[in-house]
Amino acid sequence: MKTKTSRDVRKFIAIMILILAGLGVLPFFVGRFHVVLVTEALILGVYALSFDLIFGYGGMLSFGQSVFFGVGAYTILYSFKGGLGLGVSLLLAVFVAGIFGLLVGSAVVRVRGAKFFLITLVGSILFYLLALDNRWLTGGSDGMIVPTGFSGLAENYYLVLGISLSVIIFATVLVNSPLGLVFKMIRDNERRAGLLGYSVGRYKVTAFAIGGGLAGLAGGLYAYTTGFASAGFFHWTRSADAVVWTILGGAGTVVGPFVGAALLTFVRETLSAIMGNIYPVIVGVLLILAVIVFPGGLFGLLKGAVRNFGGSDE
Amino acid sequence: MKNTGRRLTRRSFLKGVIAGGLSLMAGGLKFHRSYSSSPITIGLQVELTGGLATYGYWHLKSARAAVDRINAEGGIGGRKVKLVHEDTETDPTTGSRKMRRLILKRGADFVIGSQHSGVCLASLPASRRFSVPYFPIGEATEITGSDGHEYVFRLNCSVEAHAEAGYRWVMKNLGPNWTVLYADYAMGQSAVEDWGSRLEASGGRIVDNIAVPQGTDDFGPYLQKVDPEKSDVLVIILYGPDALACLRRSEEMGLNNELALFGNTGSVEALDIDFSGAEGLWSITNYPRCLEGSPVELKDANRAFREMVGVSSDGRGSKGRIVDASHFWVPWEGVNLLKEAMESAGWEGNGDNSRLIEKLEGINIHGSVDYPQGSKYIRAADHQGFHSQYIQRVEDGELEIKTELSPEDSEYEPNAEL
Repeated sequence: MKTKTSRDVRKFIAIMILILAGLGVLPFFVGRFHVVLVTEALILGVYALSFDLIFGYGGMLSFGQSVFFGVGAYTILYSFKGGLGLGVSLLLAVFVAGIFGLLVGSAVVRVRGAKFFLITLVGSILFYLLALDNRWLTGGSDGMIVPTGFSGLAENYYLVLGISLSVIIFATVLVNSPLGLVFKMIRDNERRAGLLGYSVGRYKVTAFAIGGGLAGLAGGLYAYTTGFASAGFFHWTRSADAVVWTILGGAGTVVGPFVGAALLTFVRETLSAIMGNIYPVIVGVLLILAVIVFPGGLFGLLKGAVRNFGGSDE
Repeated sequence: MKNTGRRLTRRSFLKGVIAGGLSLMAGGLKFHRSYSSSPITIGLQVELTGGLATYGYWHLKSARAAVDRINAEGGIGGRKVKLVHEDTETDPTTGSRKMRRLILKRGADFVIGSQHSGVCLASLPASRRFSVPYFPIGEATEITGSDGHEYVFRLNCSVEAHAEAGYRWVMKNLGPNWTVLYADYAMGQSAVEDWGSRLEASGGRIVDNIAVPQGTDDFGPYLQKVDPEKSDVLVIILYGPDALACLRRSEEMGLNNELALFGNTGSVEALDIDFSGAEGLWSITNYPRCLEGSPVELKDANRAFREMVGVSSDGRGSKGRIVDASHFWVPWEGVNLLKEAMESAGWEGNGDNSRLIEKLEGINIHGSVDYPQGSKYIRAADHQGFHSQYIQRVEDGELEIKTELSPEDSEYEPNAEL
């Protein structure tokens, strides 16, 4: 006899296969603009997921994610300037941003609550100002061009799609691994985890390093895709974007951040053509709804809808 | 189970491929035929919100007026011109997104703008990737230097061209010892480098470079560092309200009477300078704010141009809004330059872009209603335009043109060989 849970899992797998198949053939059916848009949404989804590992699984509301995004973008830029290829450059972006994550995490994990939030916010502002002032290194607010050839929109789309899928698989394995379970335990009850003998600080730093590395990957892909990087990549509002996308999509889930990033990327593009100034208002309303009405985020809503699809199994 | 479908043989597959190929070719031919009568789309990347919104307002008016005029006269090569625009929000990341949107979503065959150098730099990759000719207005030297490429042409002067034309004049007429007060961001830093290095190479002296954060309200602490005993000139590289705040404070501190004040193009751009703190300020500009300052031979052309854009002879719009004189002519001339080059190249579609580029490289432009700023040329090596610049001074609340600097005065060594 099949249980309700196993049927839900099968429904989810079927839906995921459908989505994947749709994404796989997307460039054949939509225009170049939408290929670019979906590419960007996927990259920003990876970025949001990097934050979710720290917040949704690690329980740390960090506003410093933009630092790792910016570091990843400039690592790619200088890696290309040094003549390295795309693959090595992306790995370097993950590595360097991961090291930054390790260092930043080591500095902040002992702080908790509002102080933690403030210290990461101030940290990202500090990095932004440093990036702005050191124009020789970053190009300041004007930014710098990433010196690379571009393989083409469709090729880049499939590259980003492949990397995004790999990141989703990696994150799914991670959050279900013993390490991921410890993250969740720390998030739910840090004191208890400590009493059980887990080195809470070390696990939090690990979450920062992994989240930092993935944000660096997103920053690198973004810089490669758009062809430029600027000090603005370090700005704290970019950290806030990750917070908004994750909470809206569903914190503590692997797919939720992608849903949030994709939705708001499309909303932004649609509204910018009609009335650009209303975008922040829409985001604000959606965020309030997400927190009050559907705390599980859009992904939580979708999961509920899928469960109910096909009627009751009783 | 019975197989009701037809079996796919090699022969039927080949037939399908050939039939598909022929129908695609037919579709392509049909598309090509209709393309030559479809409108030509010009994209305008413009700052309608954010720090440079004052500029964007005029750029949109100027581009619209140019397109309306061309359409009224029969279009380009008999084809109508459609202008589409996107607001960059004065932000490089948004600007680069809007560049992609202009090209991929709105079908821009060419893009003019933006005023913001960061937006221009961030948009260069898209211009190259999609092979769309781009006419940026931002002044950062790199745009037609180290970061430039074959699809980029800038009609207006770069920061380096301003420095090249202006430093000798300032040194000779106002003095060789300068204190520079500059906006502490990319454009200000770039200007400091370009002006300062030239001055010192010519025997002048930078007494001090004083960086000021953008949005500073009180310039007192910064102006206190200025030593009038050692400096002949206070060079102000600031924009908009910052420049106004600086001039007011400088007057209060009595500095205006102790040394000469010289501003960059942005120091008076779109600002009401009818206050005592601005009195006596020297500055460099691409274009005279008041019609009276235009060269005699271009006066009629400029009168007509201003009328079509909606700018009065004293540099104001219908609601009294002051024009960004140094740059508002660029979209107008950009549209007209495109018309001239496209008709000369027999441009019908993007496939003709290489012919268009050949026409634009090294082109000599003659002052007229189409080009009211005056005669200019686009250097083939780096696609940088060179034109006359003007030294102006605030006298009795008006900007008086004092000297015209020739296009050759602006020319510097190319930073790129395209």
